[in-house]
Amino acid sequence: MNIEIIYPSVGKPALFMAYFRKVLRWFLIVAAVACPIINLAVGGQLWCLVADWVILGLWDILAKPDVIEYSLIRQTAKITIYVCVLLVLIDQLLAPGWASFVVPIVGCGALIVTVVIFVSDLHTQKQNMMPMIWMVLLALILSSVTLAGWPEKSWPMIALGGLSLLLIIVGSITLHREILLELKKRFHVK
Amino acid sequence: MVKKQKKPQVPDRSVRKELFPDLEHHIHLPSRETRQLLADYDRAINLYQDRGLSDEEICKRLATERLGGFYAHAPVRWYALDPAEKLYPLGMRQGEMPLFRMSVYLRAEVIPELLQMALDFMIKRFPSFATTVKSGIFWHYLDSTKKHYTIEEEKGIACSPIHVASSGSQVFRIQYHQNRISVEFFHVVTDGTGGMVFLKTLVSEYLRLAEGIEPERKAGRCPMPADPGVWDPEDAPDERETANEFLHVELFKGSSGFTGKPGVQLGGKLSKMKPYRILHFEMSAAELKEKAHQYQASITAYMLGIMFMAHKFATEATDGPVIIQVPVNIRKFHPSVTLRNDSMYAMISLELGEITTMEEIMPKIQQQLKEKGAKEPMDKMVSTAVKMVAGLKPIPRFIKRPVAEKLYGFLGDRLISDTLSNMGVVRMPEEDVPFIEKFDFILGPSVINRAACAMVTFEDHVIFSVTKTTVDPSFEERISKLLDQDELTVRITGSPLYEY
Repeated sequence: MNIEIIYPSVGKPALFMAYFRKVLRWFLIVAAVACPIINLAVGGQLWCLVADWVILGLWDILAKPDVIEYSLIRQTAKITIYVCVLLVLIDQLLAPGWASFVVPIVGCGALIVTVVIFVSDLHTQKQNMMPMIWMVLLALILSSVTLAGWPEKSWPMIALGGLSLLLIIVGSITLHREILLELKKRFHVK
Repeated sequence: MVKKQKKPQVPDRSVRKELFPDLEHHIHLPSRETRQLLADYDRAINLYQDRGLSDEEICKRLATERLGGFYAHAPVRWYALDPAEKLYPLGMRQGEMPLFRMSVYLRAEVIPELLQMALDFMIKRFPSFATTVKSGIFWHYLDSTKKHYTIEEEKGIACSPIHVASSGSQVFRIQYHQNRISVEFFHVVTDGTGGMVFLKTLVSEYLRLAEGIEPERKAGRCPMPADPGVWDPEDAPDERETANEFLHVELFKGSSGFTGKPGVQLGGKLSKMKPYRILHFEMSAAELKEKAHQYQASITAYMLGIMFMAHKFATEATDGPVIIQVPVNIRKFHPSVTLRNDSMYAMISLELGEITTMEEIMPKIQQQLKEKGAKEPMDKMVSTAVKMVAGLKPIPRFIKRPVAEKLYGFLGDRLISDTLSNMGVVRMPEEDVPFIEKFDFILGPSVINRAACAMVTFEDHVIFSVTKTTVDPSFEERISKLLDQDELTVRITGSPLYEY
């Protein structure tokens, strides 16, 4: 069968990332199973929960990244949530007493980063604002809960609440139409 | 001696400013995108001047009114996916994507500067193509994206996944290579019929820019490939062109079409690189039609017969059904002008033991095509899809996704052995025909099926294309032999082996 080639010849495709992800996936699966077994066998503090949370985060962010909507804001929001939950887990399971102070600082920092990303390319990022809306709402809920007494009130928590409230006010004034349209699209069930 | 590389010509902006003083009023994009669009104009003007076109002719061909308001208006449109489209993004995995490719072969080399301008002018006519896939809480959707859409030189593997993840990424890819213009579409945005309308319009606009042809756009909005008209990029898009036509089909009780015994797969190890090779069997339409008539069959039935025979030869299995999925355009049952997905499938099936000779299997295939491709089974299948989607509506996307991933890939593909998608006859306006040699149509690689076939006819050229995902060449070799035995003149073209 004689085949006349009418397509351009192709160089070696860059498959490093594909292989890296494949190896990483197997490594993470093994680690996710091994950690609880070792923890139960050795005893002591429940560090396996912390380890498995890190593994889940690595899986979601590195081993199986989003194939749709891999935006900078979305990735920042995801990483922030993984880091904050990780900090809370470490605080609760391994070394208590500092998370209520550190988590809102991380949250504040992440909110500022997402706002900078958003403002730096408003034209494109207007269509990626949903993860930022989630982050702002989460921050507001977290700081509102603080008013009820848990976790304890601290200046970072008040700063986080203030920042999220400010963002909600500014967003509702300047981008209310875009926000409403975004919510309509994201929650559609058509 | 090292050959000194030719420096790219710096476009002369002053001419553009003189000829098109109001150009920038049509563009309200970020500065980088604006610069790219203006540079398209500069390059096209330079090219026309080199060809000796008068300023008047340049102004006529590149008239700024042709940009419309597309680049000046904010993106507000969005499109919910229809039941056929919903599974595609839900089940997608890294490196796997449902897509197809359509190409046109001109009689002259493609001029990239003018192809880019053709895209700049015609994209406004296809708002549902100027979109990016986004994730909702319950379903994905298409969000309109106002940007500078680009063409590229063909360098990579044909039908490799389109990168749709980043902000504002395109859901289609336009490439050129020598005299070929190809468009690859993520299936979520359209089906073969809609894709062909897009390609025909692009080519016609390109020929207007390159040859100064103003084809008669008499057919208006008919989306069928056999219609000789092309859509006028100057017409306003209509809501009906992006409508979900599945909602207008009467719902039946019970379910249909999506379950059954797994199909027998071709032998050969799945290649790591997908696709592994693209092959085209080019034949004369008249010869093929005559041969099919000898078997008292249609061209689709005849090619299905060839595929069944080749499949039997190229598998290690000894029993079980060979199931070939044939997409059916349901616009012929429910006339519509939608460019969205509006097709369902007929599963043509023969047990391995039944596949004996062409003479024996042809009546069975013809009969199945008639029965399974009729309106009622199609409506039942649509009905099942609509009801299934309605049932899944309240479940958040992150729960549906892992299930859909399995359905789309391993389980979905297992139910069939191959696919044959026949686009049928494509017609172009009379004025454009002398500049066009042929069309081809390629399906993207599937997850576990080793071959996916598609065909299209233009004038006297029929091109039957095979997308391979295994190194084993026995399937295509047997197809070639069977066509030879039937005394058909076949020219085989294709891609190199995509190995590494």
